[in-house]
Amino acid sequence: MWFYIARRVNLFVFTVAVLFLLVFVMLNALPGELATNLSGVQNPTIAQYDAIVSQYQLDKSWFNQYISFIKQRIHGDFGVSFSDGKPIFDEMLRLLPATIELCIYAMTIALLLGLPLGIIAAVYYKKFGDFFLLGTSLIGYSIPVFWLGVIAIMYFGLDLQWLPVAGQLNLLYQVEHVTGFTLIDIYLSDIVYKQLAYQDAIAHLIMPTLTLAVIPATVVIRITRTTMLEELNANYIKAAQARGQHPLSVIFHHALPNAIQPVLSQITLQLSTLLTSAMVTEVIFSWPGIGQWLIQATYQQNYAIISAGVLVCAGFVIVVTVISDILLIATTPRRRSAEYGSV
Amino acid sequence: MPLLDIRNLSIEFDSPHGRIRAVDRVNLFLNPGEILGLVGESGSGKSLVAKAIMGILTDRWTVSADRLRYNGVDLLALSASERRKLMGREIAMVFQEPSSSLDPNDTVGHQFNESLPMDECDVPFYRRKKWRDEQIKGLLHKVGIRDHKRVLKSYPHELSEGLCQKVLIAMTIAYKPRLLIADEPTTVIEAGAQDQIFKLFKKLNQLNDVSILLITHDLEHVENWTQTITVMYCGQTVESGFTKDIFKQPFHPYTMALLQSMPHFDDMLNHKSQLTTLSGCVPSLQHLPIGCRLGPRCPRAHRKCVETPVMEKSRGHYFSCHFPLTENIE
Repeated sequence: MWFYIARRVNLFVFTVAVLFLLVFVMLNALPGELATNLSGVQNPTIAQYDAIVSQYQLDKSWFNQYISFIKQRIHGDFGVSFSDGKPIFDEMLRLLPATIELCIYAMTIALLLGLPLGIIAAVYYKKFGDFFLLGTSLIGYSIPVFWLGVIAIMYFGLDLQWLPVAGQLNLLYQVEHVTGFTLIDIYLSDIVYKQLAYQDAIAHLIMPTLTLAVIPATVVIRITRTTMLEELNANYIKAAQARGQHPLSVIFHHALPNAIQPVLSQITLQLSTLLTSAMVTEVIFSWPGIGQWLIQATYQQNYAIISAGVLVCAGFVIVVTVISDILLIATTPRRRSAEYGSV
Repeated sequence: MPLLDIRNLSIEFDSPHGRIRAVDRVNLFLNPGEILGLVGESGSGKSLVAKAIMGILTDRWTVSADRLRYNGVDLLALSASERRKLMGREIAMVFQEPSSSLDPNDTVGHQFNESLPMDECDVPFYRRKKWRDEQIKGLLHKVGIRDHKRVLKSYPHELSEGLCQKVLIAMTIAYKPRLLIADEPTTVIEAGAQDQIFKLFKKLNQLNDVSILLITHDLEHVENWTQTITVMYCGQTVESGFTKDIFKQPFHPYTMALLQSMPHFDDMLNHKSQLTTLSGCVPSLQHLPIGCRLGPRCPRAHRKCVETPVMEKSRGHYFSCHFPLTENIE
């Protein structure tokens, strides 16, 4: 177990190092001055330029530059934005919670919907329920997020006028930005109409969350179905049935705990897809998150922000993958033995 | 009345090449208190028969039979919940590959708890845990596991195959079944533990009056531990009768071939000489021959063998062959 964790941490360090190397090479290859790309300061004065050169060791070899680049980034210095000169790290901290909030809700909905439906599809294998769920999930998986979002806005937002079409919260509610998570911020604030603010925040959340949840939910349905089918044909299920156990007990005590582990590991692989669709969703619903900010930066060729965004998003995916890997090991007795981790 | 009475059991499935009959009109009789050996090569449909009796075949298999009775109860007519009451309580099954028959994610002790007969428990709820522990301890001691504490705390992958099989047998006898189906219980078990398992079966049979259907491909075990045997080839019953009779004088060429393939070290076996086998190999399910399925490989095959032979009886000894070994062919 500890051996395995050590291996994972080792792998994590090297993956992150390669990630930094890629971003560093990218910043070198981009047009413009390297000092500007690294620090984000446009048209620096001579004093500023000298400071940047010593900060990033630009007068030394590329390896020194690479190491000092990693040092700066790890200490939270991502440079400043090309367009307004604000520190990127602070901006990111302000925007990231909104994205994480959206992703967490979407993932929760995807799991709450996908797991039970996947189990149902597996239990009714090759019957109507199975075909229906497979067909629906195929349709859901094939619908592009940007189209679905726009259609939802058109129908529920404009035609029916049930839900607000853009933003996080109506401007009427003056909620202070503390954690960045709307619902928690409303709870912490001392405004008069808390109940109404909650309602408004949730109304704003519904459409983006559901749009974002469609693809992960269909993926969860399909993965749950396959792994459940595999487990339901396993020997120990036959043995439990032969001992006369109730079918529900067989499914929930034996098949599900074994099937859920591969599902969870597959879902972390879906995280990168979720982040990309989150960016698109944020742009469509004007959600003030990191995705919208990044896409705007791309339009403006704001290299400092783009490189910071790549680092943070990829780093986030790597961290979550490693954590879920370790959790999976901790919860699977079969894999806890030392030889399992070794290749 | 036989405890298990199977007449013309067929198990079929639909393949892209049409409907294939993997088990073709198999007959089995098991009297109370008997140990019956079901012998055949791998792929001859022995496990299918066992699973059909337990009703745990997947949906793609179709089971049909003139008679599939346990103790007078028609197993095919039972509803799922009625069948569940019978399974585990009256009929129990032990599988091959014991370690995979236990949930890999759960401790052995926890799984054992699930298979205890809680309706026999007559103590108040606050003493239940002690009662369970006592029961489990007693059952494990009965199958010859002494360090029950370590075994109960372990996960299946931490135990040897033999130990897992003993645990599984202990779990099945918790309900005191009358019929135990053992599907190749010792194939993956190390040699020392194999004999222990068979002795355990013998003990169960003698002390608890458990009837046992022993499915195996190993004739040696069948000779030592069973009273009657049924031989299967390619999903057809070939011969059945008392073990002693069959070993003394087999009627069917296939049984003869099986017996001859056993190396006998007492008679003069030359160094590096070949053991006798039938020519050819077992046909695949897509290319089953019509009539007697042994036909293409049989040394005594004739034109008539394209018709499926009817089961014939001669002094408690059943065989299905047009030209049994006792008759001379002119």
